[in-house]
Amino acid sequence: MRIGSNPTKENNKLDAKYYHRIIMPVYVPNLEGYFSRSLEILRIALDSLLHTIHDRTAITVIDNACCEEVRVLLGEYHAKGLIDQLIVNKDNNGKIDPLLSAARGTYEPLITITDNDVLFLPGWITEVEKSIEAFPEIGLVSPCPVPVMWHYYTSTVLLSNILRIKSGALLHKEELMNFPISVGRLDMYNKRPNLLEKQNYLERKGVKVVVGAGHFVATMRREVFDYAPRIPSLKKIVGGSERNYIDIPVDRGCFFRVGTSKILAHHMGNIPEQWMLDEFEKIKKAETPAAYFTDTVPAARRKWMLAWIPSKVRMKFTHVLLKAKLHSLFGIRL
Amino acid sequence: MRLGNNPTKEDNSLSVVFTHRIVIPVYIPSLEDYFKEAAAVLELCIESLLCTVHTQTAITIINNNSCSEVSELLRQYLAQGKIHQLIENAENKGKIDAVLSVVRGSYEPLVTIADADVFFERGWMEGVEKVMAAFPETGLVTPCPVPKIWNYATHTTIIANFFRIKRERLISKERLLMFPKSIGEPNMYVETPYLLTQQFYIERNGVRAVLGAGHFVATIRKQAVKFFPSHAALLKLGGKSMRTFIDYPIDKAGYFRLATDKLLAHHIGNMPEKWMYSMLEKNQRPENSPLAPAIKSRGKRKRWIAAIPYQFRDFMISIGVKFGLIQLFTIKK
Repeated sequence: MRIGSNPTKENNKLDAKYYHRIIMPVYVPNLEGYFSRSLEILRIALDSLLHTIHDRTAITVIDNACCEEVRVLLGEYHAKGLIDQLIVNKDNNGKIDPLLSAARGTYEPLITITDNDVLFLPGWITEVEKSIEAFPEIGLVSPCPVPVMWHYYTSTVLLSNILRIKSGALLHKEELMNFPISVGRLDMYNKRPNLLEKQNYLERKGVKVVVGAGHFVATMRREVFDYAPRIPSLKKIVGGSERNYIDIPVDRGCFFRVGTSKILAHHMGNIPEQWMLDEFEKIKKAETPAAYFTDTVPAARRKWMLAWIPSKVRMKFTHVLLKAKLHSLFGIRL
Repeated sequence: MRLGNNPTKEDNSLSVVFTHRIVIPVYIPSLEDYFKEAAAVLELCIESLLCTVHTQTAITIINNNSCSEVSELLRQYLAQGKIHQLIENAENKGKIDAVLSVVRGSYEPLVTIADADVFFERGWMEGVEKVMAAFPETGLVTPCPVPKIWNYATHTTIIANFFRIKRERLISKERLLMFPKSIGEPNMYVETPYLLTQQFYIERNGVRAVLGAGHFVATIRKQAVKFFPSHAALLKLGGKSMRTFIDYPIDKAGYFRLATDKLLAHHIGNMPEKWMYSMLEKNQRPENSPLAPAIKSRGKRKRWIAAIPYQFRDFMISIGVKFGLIQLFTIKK
C-alpha cells in the first residue's frame, strides 16, 4: 500500500553534468604471482587519472569479481565520491563484455576505455578533446600513439586523406619505446626503425594527430558502439575480442583511428618501475585542467561516402597496401 | 613493465549464459517519513524475487545513491552471491536513465525492469515467458495486468488482433482492485466497471494474454530496445518519461504490449502488508523450490503495422474507443 507521496516527485529534474566518461574494467582475482603488485599499479592508475581529468568527466569502474583487498580499495574511492559509478559483478564476465555493456549504457558523447595499468600524464584529456574538435571524423583517439600500427584498422583515415598525410619528427624515440618494453615486445619497431624517428601524421587547424593507435587506452565516440556486435564474446581477455568489439567497429563505421601527437599515457604492465613513480610525483603537482568544451561536444562526422564500399573490402585495403608496398602512394613513409 | 603472463589468458572462455536479466533501480535517500518502511519493502521485493526465478536469471540492482543502511543491505546480497551485479552510482541518476543504460548493455534476450516495491508471486516468470513464446510479436509483457489501460500503447496489439480480441472474466474483482488500492486510487474502475468483470484478451496455442499493461514491472524483449530513444531523460522518477522512452517506442515499432492472464506481481507501495509475508514464507519452503526451466523465444515484429504513421493509428484507435466500436467488435464468450 502507498501512504503519502514520494518526495522525489517534487524535484524531478536532473542536470547533465558530464560529457566525458572513463570506463575502467578491473580484474585482479588475487594478489599472488602475476598479480602480486597489482594493487599498487591500480592505485597509481586511478590516482594519476583523478589528477588529470576535468570536472565534467565521470569515471565508471567495473569490478569483475576482484579479491577482497581490491574491492575494499574501490569501495573507498567510491565512498569518497571520486568514482561516479562502481559496477560490481559477482562473477568474472571477461573484459570486453562488461566494458561494451557499460559503454552502450553511457549517455556521455565521449567514452574513454582504459586498462587498469595505465599512467595518465597531465594534459592528456585536453589533447584528446582538442583532436576531436579539430577532427570530428575521429572515432577513436588514443593518448598513446603507436605509429607502427599505422595499418591497423585505419583504412578510413588513409582513404579519406590521400596526399594529406605528412611525415615528421613528433615523438621521442625513448618515449615511443616505452610501450614495446612494457608489453615485452622489444622487436616491435625492428622492421620499421624509421618510424621511431619520423611519424606519419595529419594536421588540421594546427592540431596534429598520428596515424596508428593501440586500444589499451583510447577515447571513443559513443556512436562507434552502434557498429559493434550485439552478441557477447564470452571471452575473458584478448583472443580477438578487442579487435571485434573495439577496433573493427571504428573502421566499419567509417571513423578515424588516430593517436595524439604527444605520448600522454603510458602502459605500466604488472610491475611498477622507478620512472613511473617519478612521473607520478610530477602528476600530483600538476594543475587540474579545465573542461575543454564549454558547451556541447561537436557532433561526430562519419565518412559516409566510404560506407558504399563493403566494410570487409575496405578493411583489407591497408593490408594490401602493406603487402604490395604501395603505401607511399598514400603518403605513408616507413 | 610486464613480467610473466596474465594467467587469465590461459583459461579464456566463459560458460555462464543467462537468458533473462532483471533490473531493479533503488533510490531510498533516507529511512524517514515516506521511506520509513522502505528497507523492509526492498527486502520483501528482493526475497520474493529470489525464490521465484529460474536458474538462467541474472539480477542487476542499481543503487542510485541510497542511504548507507540500504547500500549495506545491497552489498550483503552481492557478497552472499544472491544477486549478480550491483551498480553503485555516486549520485542519483534518475530511474529511467539508470535502467535503460543497463537494459542497453545487457546481452540477455529478455530483460525485466521492476520497481523496488514489487512483490513477485510464484510462476510470474513462467507466465511471462510463455506469453513471449506463444506471441513472438510481443515486445513487453507484465505479470501485473491492469485491464483499465487496455488501450494504452497497444495500437499494434489491437490492429493486429482486431477480430480476435475476446472478452471474458479471467481475474477476480478483488485481485484486480489490489493495484488501484496500492497506488491510492481506489476509484480507478468506477467509470468502466465492465472491465472488472470482463477483460479483453487474446489467445493463441492455449496461452491467453490480457490487454492492459502498466510499467512498474515489465519484461521487455531485447530486440525491441534498439527502438528506444538514445538520449538521456534527466528525470529522477519514471513518470511520463516511461511513455516516451519505453511504452510508445515498443508500440510504434510494431510490437505487442500484453499482460499475463493471472495477477502474478503486486505493487507494495511504501507499506508492506501481512499476507505478503505469509506468501513469501510459503514460497521459500524447500518443497516449493523446483521452478519451470527458461522458455526461449525469438521476437518478430509486425512491420506492416509499424509502417502506418503512429498519429494516424492513434487517431483511429481513439475514435474506435470513443464510439465503442472496438468493444462492439470483440467476441463475447
